[in-house]
Amino acid sequence: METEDLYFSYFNLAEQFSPYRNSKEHLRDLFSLLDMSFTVIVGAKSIDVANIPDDLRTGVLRDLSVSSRDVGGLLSAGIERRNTEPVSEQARDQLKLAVLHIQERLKRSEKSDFLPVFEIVRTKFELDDFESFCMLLALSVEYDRKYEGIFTFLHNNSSDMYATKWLAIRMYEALSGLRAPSAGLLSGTSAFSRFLCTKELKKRDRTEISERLVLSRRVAAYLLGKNSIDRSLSGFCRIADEYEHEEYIQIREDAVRKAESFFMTKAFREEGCFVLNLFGPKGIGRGYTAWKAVSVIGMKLLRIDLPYLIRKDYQELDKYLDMIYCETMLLGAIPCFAVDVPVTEADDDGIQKKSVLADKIYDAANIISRIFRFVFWLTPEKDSSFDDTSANQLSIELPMLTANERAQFWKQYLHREYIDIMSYSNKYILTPRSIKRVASTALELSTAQMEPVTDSIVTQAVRQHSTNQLGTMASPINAVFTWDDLVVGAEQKRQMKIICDQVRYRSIVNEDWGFRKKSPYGRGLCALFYGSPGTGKTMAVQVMANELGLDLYRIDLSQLTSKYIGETQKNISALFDKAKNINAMLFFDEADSMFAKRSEVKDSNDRYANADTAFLLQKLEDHEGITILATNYVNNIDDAFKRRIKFMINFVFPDKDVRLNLWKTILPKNARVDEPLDFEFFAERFELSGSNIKEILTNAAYLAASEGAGIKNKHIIEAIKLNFLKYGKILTAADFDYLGR
Amino acid sequence: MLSENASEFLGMLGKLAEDHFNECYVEEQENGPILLMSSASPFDEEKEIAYSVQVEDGNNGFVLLQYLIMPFAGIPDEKLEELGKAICYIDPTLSYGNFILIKEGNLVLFRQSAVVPDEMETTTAIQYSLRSLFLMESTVFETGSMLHGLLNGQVTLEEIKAATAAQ
Repeated sequence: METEDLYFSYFNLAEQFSPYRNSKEHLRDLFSLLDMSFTVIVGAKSIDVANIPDDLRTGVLRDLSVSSRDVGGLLSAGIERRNTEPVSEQARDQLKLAVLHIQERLKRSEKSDFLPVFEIVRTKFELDDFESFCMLLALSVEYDRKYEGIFTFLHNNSSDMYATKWLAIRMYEALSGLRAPSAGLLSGTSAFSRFLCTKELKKRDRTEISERLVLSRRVAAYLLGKNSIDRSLSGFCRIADEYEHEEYIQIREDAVRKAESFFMTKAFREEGCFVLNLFGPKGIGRGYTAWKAVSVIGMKLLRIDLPYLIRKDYQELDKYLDMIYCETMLLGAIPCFAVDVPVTEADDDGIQKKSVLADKIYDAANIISRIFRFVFWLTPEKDSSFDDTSANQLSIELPMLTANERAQFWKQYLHREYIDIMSYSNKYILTPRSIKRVASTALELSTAQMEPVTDSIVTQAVRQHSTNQLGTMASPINAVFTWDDLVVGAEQKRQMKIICDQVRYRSIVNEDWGFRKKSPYGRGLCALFYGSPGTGKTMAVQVMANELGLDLYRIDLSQLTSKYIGETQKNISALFDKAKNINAMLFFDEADSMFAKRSEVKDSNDRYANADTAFLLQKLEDHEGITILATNYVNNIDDAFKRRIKFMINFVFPDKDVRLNLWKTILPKNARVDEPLDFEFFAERFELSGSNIKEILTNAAYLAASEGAGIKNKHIIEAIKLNFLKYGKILTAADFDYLGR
Repeated sequence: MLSENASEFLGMLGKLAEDHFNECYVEEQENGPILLMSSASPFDEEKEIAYSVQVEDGNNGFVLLQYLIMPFAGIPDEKLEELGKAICYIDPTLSYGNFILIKEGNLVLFRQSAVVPDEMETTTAIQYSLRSLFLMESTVFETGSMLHGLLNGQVTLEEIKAATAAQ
């Protein structure tokens, strides 16, 4: 082919002044330019294989092995090459015409607001001419397999079907007459090799310069017209869309406006990385706030589940973050990392220390701060992962919804006007997402049970979605008892009902009537149940949790206290932080051990123990949820605690009437009874607590069942004897009057 | 440099174009040399079509090659408005160059300009210019027939409108 005719052979002059209508047209021109380049290169004998003397050329093309003659030829070709002008001016002019042709069309495309994908990638990744050339070479084999043959020929090596760094540098220098800025390409630090090339093909037996230029599948697909998220990222990355956020009512206008403003002012600066930390409980709308901020200018939000990513080792993490960066560029998205993992954990001694994951998060933060310009960073608490990096960070808190705000969501999702929405929003501390899930489950349960949505159905639905969120510090109790199961005095019941009502109506009093402003501290509700063992304190707590539909957690005081100074406070703090936003009632059983009277300071240990108690007091007062303390020894409770406790209910030892009621209530309706049981006698004769009576009846039932009979008075007598024996008291037949005979 | 050797370049271009055109010569004008050429009009045996090529200084190492073809001159005044409308219909269908109606001179020009590197070899620039001229010529001949038809009443404006809309 004549060199002076090259441009006209590959390009249609008439098209020079029409804009590109699509990316395919642009690629077609680019590959015409590449074909021209190959023609020039081969014709100009500017690369080694073409420099081989004519008598050897046929052999080189045909034979893939290298003979001693070939070697000689290659060596002499090297000398020749150093002394020859690689590409003629005429050929270079033809290439320039082709480049101009493409540029003219691009200019016109830009005027009609169209930019081909190749140009988009080039602009977004700020590729220079050399890197763009490398990208074209790398794309060629994906575009047309004919290039495999060309590369094989140019390398004189059948295994080199892809362009190599060597070829790219040689070709660029030969064609442009300039020195290729290849340092970044060779070291792998240039934008092209870091973000656009695959990192899987690095071969150990290849030198840096002979490495292949292979685009990542994602980038190749994008350049050839397919833009969907990388499959290897889709497990933990997704584009947040409007549909996903439909549940959020505009209730956090201030936070959204702040995020929008920070995003607009910081996202497009040239200087360093900016991290906008949106913190608050999961499901409160952190993602929504980020999405809302970017969607104002029509950008997308790429949600990344960081906990999944940080399980990988450092190199993998680095690689994946590069891929994510590439993804955000190709999708036109802003990255939003959800980092809902604990950064501290307790060791075997109960000491809170930085978790393994925390180190990984710091690693990730470090890499992120070097690659990205702007990221959203979603955490449950205010985060400091970027403190040691060069990134600038600002935090916006999204606090838990108020009861009135929660009510809006309940109304939206339950679509029921006649049920007591307000009571749910008071009882259940849920995020918008949780309310949506619970409401949806409630509606499903209601359909399945063919009855309208009732309190009981909503409670069931809440339970379905509750999990133990307090970790090892607390154990959940399945609260199944109702008021009917609880046999306590009328006064105790009345006080318990007052507590329940306070929970139900606290939004009216605190928010609507403005009492919150008057007492910003001590919004929580703390009650102390005290009385002898077995008088129904624990059951009462369960009844209340059940009545209010709250998860009940018994706090494991042994997990809370630590022998190490300062660790107890950390544990207490961690407990209340976790409990802050969950739908739970905290139950400190045997509370006297933790809330005991502060001692006079005799040594340093006493001082720290007192400090722990004071800290607990403070946290208890700040805690907005419901806390129930139970103790057998009220006198051991510190007076300062008593002042902070709103209700103190004395579970007195049951009198005869209550005991009779207990006997009757505790015996299950389905229990087999073979003769009339004289509960009046037992109630009058034996001073037993509720738990004792329950134990006796249970034992009596087993005794009867083992005999294959129903429960009789004799079984109860036997069980009573066993119970008293525990306390070292032996009963005789006389103690049971006529029943003992 | 093409900008410094414009006369030489245009002279060589004219020489190579001699076979195709009736007349080719370089004229030194106030704003530099200009190659003027003419050929028989395909629309009217008695008339000629005039061509011109000029080299203008561009920026950043480029020059602007300005090509003009004058297919119609002496257009009756009453036809000017209709012709102007027809050009408006035809222009968007062209991928190369555009027609301009000069009302003051009662003529129609076809214009195209191209940017080439200033240091481009003369032979390449000549070849490029010739190709551009031939391309322009074929465009003028093809689409100009519609304008010619309108001028002599063989085609109506509505027909041109319909024909161009279909493209």
